[in-house]
Amino acid sequence: MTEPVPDAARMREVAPGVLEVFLPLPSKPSIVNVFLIALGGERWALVDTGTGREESRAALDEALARRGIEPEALTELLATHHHPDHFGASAWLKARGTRIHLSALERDRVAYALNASAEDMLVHGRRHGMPIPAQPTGAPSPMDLWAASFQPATEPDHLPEDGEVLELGTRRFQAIWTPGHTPGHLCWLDLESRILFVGDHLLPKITPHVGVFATSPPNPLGDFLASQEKVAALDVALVCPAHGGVYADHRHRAGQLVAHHEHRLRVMADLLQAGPKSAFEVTRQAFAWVFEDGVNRFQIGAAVMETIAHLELLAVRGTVPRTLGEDGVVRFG
Amino acid sequence: MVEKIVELTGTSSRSIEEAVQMALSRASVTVSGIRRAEITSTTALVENGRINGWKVELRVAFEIRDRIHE
Repeated sequence: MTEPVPDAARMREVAPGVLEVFLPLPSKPSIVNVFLIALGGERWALVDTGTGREESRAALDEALARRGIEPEALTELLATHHHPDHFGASAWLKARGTRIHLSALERDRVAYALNASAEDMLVHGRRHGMPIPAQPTGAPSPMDLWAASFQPATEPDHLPEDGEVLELGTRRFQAIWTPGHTPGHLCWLDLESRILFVGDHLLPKITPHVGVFATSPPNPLGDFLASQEKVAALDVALVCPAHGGVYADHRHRAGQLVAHHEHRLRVMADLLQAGPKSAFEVTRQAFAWVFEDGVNRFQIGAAVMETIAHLELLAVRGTVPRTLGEDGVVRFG
Repeated sequence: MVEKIVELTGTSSRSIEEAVQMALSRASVTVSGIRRAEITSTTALVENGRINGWKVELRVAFEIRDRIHE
C-alpha cells in the first residue's frame, strides 16, 4: 500500500487567498499548477483546469473539499489557453455552473482541434521537408492525441480582450494578451496584489514550445518575443506559472527566454551558411537529440514545428531568404 | 572583485569570431556579467580538403555577484 501524499505536496497558499493546486499529468511535465483565488463572499476563481482526465478532476475536487469550497462557489474560470492541461476539464466545470473566460482566438483553436483531420499536419509536414509517405499509417489527428485529456467548453461565457479588466468580487483581473505559445494566450494580472498568472508564457525552468502548425499565425516566435517584452514592462510582485514553482523576478526570466531564442536563431542561421535547407533538414542538426533511439516520435514533430518558427522569424528579419521549391518544399537560406 | 571562469566551446560554419559569439550567446542565457573570453584553442574543421567550420575553446570570465537577503 502506498503512503498517502501529504497535503503540502498537493496544494499550498502562495499569497493571501491564492492557492496553488498541483494536478497530475499523464506525461512530462508530470504536474500542472492551477490556482484557486478567493474573491470574497465565498466565491472563488480558478486559473486553468488541468486535464479532463478522471484523476485530475478528482484531485481538483479533493483540493476544493479540503478547503471547504463548495463546487458551486467556483464561479469563474480564467483560462490562459486552450491546451488540454489548461482547458481540458472546462466542459465539466461549465456544466457545474462556472463562467468560462477564454480569449476568442483560443475559442477558435478549440473548435479547430475538435474537428481537424490528420491531413492538415501531413500536408504541412511535407511542405517543410518531413519524409512522410503518400499513404501514412497511424497518422494522428489532434483529437487522437488529446481525446482522454480534452473535454473543452466550446462556447465560453465571455471572450476577454487584451487589456480588459474583470471586476470579480474583491479583486480586479486584467487580461494580458501574450501570443506565441498559442495565438490567443492570456496572462491574468491581479491588479491589487500584482500577482501575474502566466500559464505557459513565462515558465521558470523550461521553455514553452513555440511552433508553426498547419493553421498557425505565420510568425509565432516573433509574437512570443514581443510578448516577453510586453510582460517585462509590467510591474509584478509574484509570478504564478503552470509548471514549476512560483517566483518573483519576471523580468530576469523574460530576458533569459529572449536570450535562449536569440541563441537558437543564431545556431540555425549558422546551419544555413552551407546552403538552403528545409526545416526538417535544419531540425536534424539543431534538435539532433530528438532523433535518438527511445525518444517519443511525436517529439520530432514538435521539434520541426519549433524549427519552422525560428526559420520564419529569420526570414521576417531578412537574415535568410525563404523559397518554395518546384517539389513543393519550403527552403530557407 | 572575484571572477569565476568556465570553459566552453563554440562552433560556427562562418568564422572564428562567430564561433566565439556562438558560445557567448548560449552562455548569456544563464550567466550574467561576462567580462571577457580568452580563446585557448582554435581549430579549423575540414571536409574534402576545404574548411567548412571553426571550433574554438574559451575560458569565459564573469563577476561573482553576492545577493543580499532583504
